[in-house]
Amino acid sequence: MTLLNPDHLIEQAEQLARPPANGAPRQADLRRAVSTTYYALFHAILVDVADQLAGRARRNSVEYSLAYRSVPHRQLANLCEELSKTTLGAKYRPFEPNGGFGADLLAVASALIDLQEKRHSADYDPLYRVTASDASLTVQAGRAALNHWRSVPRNRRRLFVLILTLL
Amino acid sequence: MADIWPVYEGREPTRGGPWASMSLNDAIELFELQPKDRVADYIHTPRFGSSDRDLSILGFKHIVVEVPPNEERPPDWPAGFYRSPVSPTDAFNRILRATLSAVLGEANLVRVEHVASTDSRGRNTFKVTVILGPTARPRISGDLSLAAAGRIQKALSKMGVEGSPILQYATEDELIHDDQ
Repeated sequence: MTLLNPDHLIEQAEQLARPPANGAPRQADLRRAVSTTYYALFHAILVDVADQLAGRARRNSVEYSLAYRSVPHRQLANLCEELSKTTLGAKYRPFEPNGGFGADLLAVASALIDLQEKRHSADYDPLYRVTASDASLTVQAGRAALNHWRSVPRNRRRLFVLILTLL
Repeated sequence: MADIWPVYEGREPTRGGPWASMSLNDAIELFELQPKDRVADYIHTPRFGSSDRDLSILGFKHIVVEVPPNEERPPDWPAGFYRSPVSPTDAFNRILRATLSAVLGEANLVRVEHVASTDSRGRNTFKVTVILGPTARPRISGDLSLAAAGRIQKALSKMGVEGSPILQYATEDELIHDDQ
């Protein structure tokens, strides 16, 4: 099975955010750029979730699909908000690694919170207006967040997935 | 560190924590303080307006800077509470701008605006718009934009804002011209 490639989503978002050759940018394009950027990061995390819960070797199985679809957006945002706090809540504290979760994972958490809010506005709020500058910086931030996610050490990503799905 | 308090008139001057903490020198510059603005010593919490009524419904009316005795300060700045001539709304913007300029670079910012909003879960928050200079955009990387979002989330959380903010960017030109 070919999984949705987060890099392809970011490339698509970059194309949508690029100023048109003629005329003013379209809100439909800029909003989709913002929304697609969020989904690039979301799907990158889901691949890790499903790889860990169902196994990378079982990407063609229904169990893999089930694991992939097991993470609600809000649940992910809740964990990211928790990680972004100066002091972790009591429920999470026992799982905090020595030295914390690390700069890369904290950057991902912060990006996820930001992108999810923007995605929600871009998809549902008729008054939300995205500028070309904002769309382009949002896409760049999304690409940076994707790089940070891939730089998180494997054991930290595993811990993140375990907390996300089991706690 | 000096604490920056948004203050109501009436019986209960504050709720929750200060909006920000910073060095006295930064507070003096950001909130245009002068020694004559001292309204109370460090022991007595200053109150404004009718102290037997709860006037919090009217919103924040003053910005008060709390300077503790252990803060390093010039001799004409004794510990105590100083009332800034800057309005709470303006002070809020100044804190946001100081927070963002530390990441994005002061030279790249024209101004920072905010409006009250709710996030996707209905929690109170703010939409913060950074107005960029006309040539600033290429100087801001994805990592800087990411860091700015994180800083704003932390700053607003420290101010007691529960919801997740939205940080947006625009140039003056984009604010003026229509899109489609």
